[in-house]
Amino acid sequence: MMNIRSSFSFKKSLLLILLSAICFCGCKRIIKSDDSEDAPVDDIEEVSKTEYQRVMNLKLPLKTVVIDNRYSLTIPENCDFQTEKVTPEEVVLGNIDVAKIDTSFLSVNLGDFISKTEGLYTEQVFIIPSDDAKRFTIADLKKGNERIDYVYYEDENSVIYDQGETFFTYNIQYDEVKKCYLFYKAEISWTQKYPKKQKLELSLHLLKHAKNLMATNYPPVKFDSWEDYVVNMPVLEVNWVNHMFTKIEKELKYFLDPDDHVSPRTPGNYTFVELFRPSQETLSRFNKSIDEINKNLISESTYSSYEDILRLNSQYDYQLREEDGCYVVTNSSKVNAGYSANTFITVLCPVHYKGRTYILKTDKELAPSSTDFFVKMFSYFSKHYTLKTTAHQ
Amino acid sequence: MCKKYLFPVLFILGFSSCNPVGKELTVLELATGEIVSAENLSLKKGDVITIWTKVSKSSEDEAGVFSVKFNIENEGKSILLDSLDMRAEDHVINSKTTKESYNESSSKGDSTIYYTVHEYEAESKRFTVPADGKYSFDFKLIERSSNNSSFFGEKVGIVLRKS
Repeated sequence: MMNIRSSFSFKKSLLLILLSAICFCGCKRIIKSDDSEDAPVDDIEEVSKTEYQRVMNLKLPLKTVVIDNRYSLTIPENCDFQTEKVTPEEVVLGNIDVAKIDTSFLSVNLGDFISKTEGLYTEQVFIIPSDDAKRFTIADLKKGNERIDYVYYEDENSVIYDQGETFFTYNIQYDEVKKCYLFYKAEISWTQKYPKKQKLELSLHLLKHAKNLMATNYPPVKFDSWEDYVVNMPVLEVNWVNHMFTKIEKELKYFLDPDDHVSPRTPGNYTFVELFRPSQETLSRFNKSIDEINKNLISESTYSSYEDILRLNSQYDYQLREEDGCYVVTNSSKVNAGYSANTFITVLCPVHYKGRTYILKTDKELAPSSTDFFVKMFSYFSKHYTLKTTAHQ
Repeated sequence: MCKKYLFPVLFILGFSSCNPVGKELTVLELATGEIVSAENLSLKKGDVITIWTKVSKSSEDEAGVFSVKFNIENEGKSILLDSLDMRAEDHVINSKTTKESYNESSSKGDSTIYYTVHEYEAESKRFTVPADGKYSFDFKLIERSSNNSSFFGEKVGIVLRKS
């Protein structure tokens, strides 16, 4: 009897131990796991000759602008610029002792739509008068205590390097005729969380801007299509646009409710495109607005609803042209006492998808230099319902 | 005797994993009107993905009325487009209530206002993976009616778990 009992108690203990062991081993806390399989590899090396040449050979429409009635600069056609006078104390140019410059000089801030909207990078050209053609060199810029983590590209008048996650591009040119330096500086900040490889490729594109500053004889080129933009743009900027349009695509196909509209946000929390799914009534009012601009019939009494896609205001003059399936509306404010004139462009594009009509609209005031970019972009989307192309994949 | 212990053993084994709600794949914070996605999740046929809504409400706010639309894609094709039931509270986990406070100044002087924050996760949907592959889960939070005081804000998130 004792044997049976002890055998039973032994089995019971064994079972308890076994169960405790299973419990203990199986008890895994829920831990948020990173998908290491998809983690990007971010080791990059200096720019190869092939890569340098590839970027330098890409298409880049240019224009020449006059600065301060004295200097001329050749900049990308889709860039705008603002000029300001700066004192040497306000400027950091690597390790060059700018304080020795005894005069204030001009700073020309360049920017295209993407860099201005998202603040992806800054581009400045400092025009520094000097009779000495050997006053500033790349070697001066690098020497001393300037922190340089890695130099990815260098030639006699240019350098691309990083400081942590921040990428700098410098270029120094001397204008013998005007007796001045064109000191180009571009910075892609560490706050922009993109792979270093993409930041470096963007830096090379910026270096190309710098190398064209004094160009005079350049052939007229233009982008023929959205695909043409994509193959010639920096990968980082293509991804930035695609990131936003992936959301637009999903709104179009799955999410957007009838008579609603949406402006998805960029990684930097900005918006630049709106998608409308108008009711028949809202669509009719939109078509009526287009018709009114065409016939120049905008009056004070024109009815306008808050939900309207294109709200017309009698304080503005409007001009309309149709291009690649898009409406390009130029809005010019009438000059009133105390208000300066303001002109900007809005691009709108109907998208017909599964028997429904949607409207894409730019939600920032566009400069004429950015218009073609949006016309080609919207036109491509209206035909393919995506912006993804086979380029850069 | 073995038979006598079989049921309790299986029963205890069922609980013994200590992971009854599955392995957490990702946590997404939703923002009104924005599509938020979990992309390229590698899943196997038969995996069960449970979508949990993670809610944080303050007693200072009247609750807004939300809905969440979601879309599941495989190879760029939508395989499920549906909405989550935000009122589902049959299976609630990680529920906790905390007491918070803030100072308010007025002409009568400074005072401390106390309020409670209730956080919980509620099971909203289950999805059985039909074939091996990479899947994307898109969610869009839609506010059907808003309340005026949004300082404390009702926060809505998504937790995806695999079992």
